[in-house]
Amino acid sequence: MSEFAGNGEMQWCFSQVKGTLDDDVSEADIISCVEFNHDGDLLATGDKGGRVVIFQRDPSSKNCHPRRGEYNVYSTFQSHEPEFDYLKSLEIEEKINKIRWLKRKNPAHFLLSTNDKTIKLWKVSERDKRAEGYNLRDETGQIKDPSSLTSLRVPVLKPMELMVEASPRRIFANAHTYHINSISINSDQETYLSADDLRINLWHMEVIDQSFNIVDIKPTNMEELTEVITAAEFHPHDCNFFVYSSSKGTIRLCDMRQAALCDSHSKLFDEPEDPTNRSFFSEIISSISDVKFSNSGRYMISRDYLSVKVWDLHMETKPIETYPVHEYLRSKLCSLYENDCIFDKFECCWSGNDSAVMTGSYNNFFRMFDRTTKRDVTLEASRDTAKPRTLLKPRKVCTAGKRKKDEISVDCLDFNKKILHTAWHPHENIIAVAATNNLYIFQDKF
Amino acid sequence: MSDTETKVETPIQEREEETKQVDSEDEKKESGCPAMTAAGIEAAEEAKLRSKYPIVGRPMAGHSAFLQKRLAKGQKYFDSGDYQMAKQKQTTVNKSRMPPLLAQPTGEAIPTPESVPVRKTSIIQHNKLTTAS
Repeated sequence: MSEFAGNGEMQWCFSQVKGTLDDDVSEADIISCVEFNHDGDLLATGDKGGRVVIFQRDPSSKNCHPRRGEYNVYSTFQSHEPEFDYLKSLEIEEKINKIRWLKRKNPAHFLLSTNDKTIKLWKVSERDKRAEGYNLRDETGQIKDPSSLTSLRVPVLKPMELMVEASPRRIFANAHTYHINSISINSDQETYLSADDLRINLWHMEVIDQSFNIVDIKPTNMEELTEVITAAEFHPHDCNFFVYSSSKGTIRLCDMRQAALCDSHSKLFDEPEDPTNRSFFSEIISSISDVKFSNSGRYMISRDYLSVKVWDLHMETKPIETYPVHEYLRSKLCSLYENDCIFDKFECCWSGNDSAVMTGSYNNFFRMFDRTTKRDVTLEASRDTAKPRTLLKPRKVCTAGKRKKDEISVDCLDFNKKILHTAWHPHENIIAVAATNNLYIFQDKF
Repeated sequence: MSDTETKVETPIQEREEETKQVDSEDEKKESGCPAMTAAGIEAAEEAKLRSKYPIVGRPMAGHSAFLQKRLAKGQKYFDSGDYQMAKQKQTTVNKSRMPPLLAQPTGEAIPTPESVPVRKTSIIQHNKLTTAS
């Protein structure tokens, strides 16, 4: 059931915020990824401390009228632990880089979570019944003396309080020399890819000790290194296509039917810049931090430092739409390079019907672009509006001189409050926005 | 952006062009600089950077160094012992439950013969024959 305004301005309201609103934030609580599952009933977050927290849609909030987007904690588990690579004398962070859900096949839920080096398949299942009346054990679990038994009984299943258990079913390790930045499940639901800075590997869910290398851009001489892989994703419907983006601003579409090693692309999506306009910053800000196929599979969006671009898979020469995220930062590139913010990796996402795209910015601002009306809006994930049903007011950044009321000047933006991760419910207008350690859930006005 | 743009422009790109022009006009009023395109703004920012850090790498060659730094993300330790020391330092800062005596380290300075205070000579008289070995 899809519900979309489809007309004019979409207005957003606060629904919930997860995580402490205190100023005292521990680094481990910083959210590092957000992902809805395929029906939107579950929302998973990963954090820097290696934990995964899964929220579940409150069933009553779905059926009440008007519908509300309310999520409650469903399961929490420690997915990854910090490790030490003794050979290279390097710490391996436990931070969860990506979470991807598998499609539902049975009552349990499955997801893949990854840190820099290891991918894990987790099974999340419910237990709401317990067997009682064992023959060999008594009620407290003590073993009974078999010779004391005079009759046998069949254990009965009795209801118990719901328990949600998460267990690691597969651990896919030791296949990446560099840091894993992406994982993507194939539409066949049996294989998936994992990408690091220089290589992409193809795995089968059932096989943990082998993976196929399908892309390798490592040069023989590392001094010749000019670009790295920044993101990769499988096509949502065609099991043979995947794309990967680079730090040079290009996206390559590869066809696994063509060759075992997909080093040469089928399509190269690149909007080359006029060479006379190049500056020291040009290449850095053109680096693509995220690439996502549309739900239809016909388009894809790429996020570079200052913009979101919509590409038609049938046209490699340039994007069909370009949306400026925070153009006012172009005149601040020098400071942003000094404080490393220029290297921040923002993600982007599609709305369920592909009519809108969303991405984050600084000062806890996030931006939404409506592709049909060509209207865009800047909203803020703020504690001030953290009251149920509060309408979010559009925010505006002013660049020069006269600052209107309610506008914020570029120099007053808080660059430590960055929204790198956002997610859109697959069927409804409910969005999840990660602001440091807080997860905000917003929904369209009801 | 520049005049050599492709002829077919989507509405979004045209609007972007307009807003850039509006921005550049504001810049004009504010600072009296010539009208700035996106390329102009970037070039100005690059000039700022170069004036601060003259040795920042040339765009192409420097990128390789930047990428290599990116690939080697994470603090490097000399060996596992170094790593353990660094971790211990972190934990002692966070929770100092050590008894006062042990909590005082012996210090980091390496003693040299000149810095060690002279010991008083022993009151026991040594037999000259036994001190030879």
